[in-house]
Amino acid sequence: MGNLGYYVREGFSGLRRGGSGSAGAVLTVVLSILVLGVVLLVVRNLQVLVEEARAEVEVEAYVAGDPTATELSYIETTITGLPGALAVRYVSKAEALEELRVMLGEDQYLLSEIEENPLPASFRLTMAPDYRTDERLAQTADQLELVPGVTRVSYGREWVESLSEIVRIAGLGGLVIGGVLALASVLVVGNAVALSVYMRRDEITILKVVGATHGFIRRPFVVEGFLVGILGGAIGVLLVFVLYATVGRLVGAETFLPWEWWLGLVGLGALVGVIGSFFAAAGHVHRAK
Amino acid sequence: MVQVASFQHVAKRYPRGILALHDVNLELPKGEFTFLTGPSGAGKTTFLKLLFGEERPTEGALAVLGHDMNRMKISRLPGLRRRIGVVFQDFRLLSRRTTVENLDIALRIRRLSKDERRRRIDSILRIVELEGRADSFAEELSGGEQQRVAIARAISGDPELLLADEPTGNLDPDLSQKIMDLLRKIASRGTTVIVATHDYEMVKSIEARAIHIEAGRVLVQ
Repeated sequence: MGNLGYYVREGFSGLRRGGSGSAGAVLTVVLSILVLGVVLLVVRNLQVLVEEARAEVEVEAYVAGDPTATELSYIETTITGLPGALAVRYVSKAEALEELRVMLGEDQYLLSEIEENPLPASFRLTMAPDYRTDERLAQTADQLELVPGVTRVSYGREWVESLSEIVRIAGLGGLVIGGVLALASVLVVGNAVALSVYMRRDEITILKVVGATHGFIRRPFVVEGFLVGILGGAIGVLLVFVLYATVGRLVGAETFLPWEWWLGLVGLGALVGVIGSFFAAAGHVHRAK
Repeated sequence: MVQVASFQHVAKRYPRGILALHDVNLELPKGEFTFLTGPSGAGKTTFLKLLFGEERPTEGALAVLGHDMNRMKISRLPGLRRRIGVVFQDFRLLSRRTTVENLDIALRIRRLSKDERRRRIDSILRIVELEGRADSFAEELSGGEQQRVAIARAISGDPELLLADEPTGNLDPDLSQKIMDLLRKIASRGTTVIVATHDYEMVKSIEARAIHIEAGRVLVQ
């Protein structure tokens, strides 16, 4: 497009002349991206939390009675051979009792009444990252139950699943909020551009008489909208970062948004700007006589 | 094309019942210089507006440069207007832009290359004798200079038809003469020129066809 330079220059010029209308539109985009960014930040950190929690999840396979060394060795080898098995740790009956004693703390006097150790020995299995999903954990548990000598398998299923559920809902909530905000921003940018078109209506009339197409007249306004959007997006992302680095860290946030996410936010700002300005410009340029 | 425009029983009625033009029948041959005379409010401006598609006839048939103006799609209007140059009494230059920028935009919409645009602008500035004011802003130019820029812009695209609505209305006699000479020079190069004016002295002093409009009716001389 030979006139691209012209459209861009006119777009910048329109932005400058737009004054408070443009500033208001940029501010709206900034706020929308900011809110969306904060929501995404929360979601991202929850995701990380869930991943870390999953990493600590051990699948515990309880063994019956008092197995011999050979039997234990056999079970251990089989378990180690399962797909996704990262590390296997044997916990003897005595160790299990000691863990319980530690966990009970002040209440460990309760154990003094017990004569025989009721706790079973177990093998604790840590899974590879890919195998920490609910589905795979369930599969692993099923496979473990089939190993001769293993009586019961547990892996703290409920809280892992509820944590995932929370993250999923948070993510969905974030999308809904984001959608509403994006829509509001589109309308505000559209309004600012409509104002811009109105302010330049004399100029537009002259261009029409001279024989300029609607596209030629419209494109600088779309550039203007794009600039509003990308500026708002960039400032919004910057503010999200500032919030993360200050408040976020204090509250325990560990990670900022991955580059695909924050770049996507800036892109969303630009997209909002383009969409809002395109429809506003198309409608009003057409109507200007 | 022999006829640049053809009016057949054309009438223009505005929304509140005002009849601006009534039963116009005439042809505008190619390459002619024609005056459009008549008192203010007679319908001269409406006549010109019909020619460049700003208004559509409410009755009758109008053809301009081969286009049926009654049925023409709005999307095709820019294309037609690029073949027509229009000069207004109030100049209508783009404000906050220089002479060159005003001309450049008219050429950009015709998708000419940067070199071609530069070449044409230089040539036209010579024709209208404004080389020295190339980088002046529209607001800095005198009335006569602004009108010459307006004419320069109108002819920059090499139009087949040039319409001028009271081009000397805001200017003194000397300047008016200069502008008229310029318009006639343009006509001599093959462009069909229509000049609407109520300056009868001017019309009498120049040998040209005159279409007289009075109260919406046309009397051809």
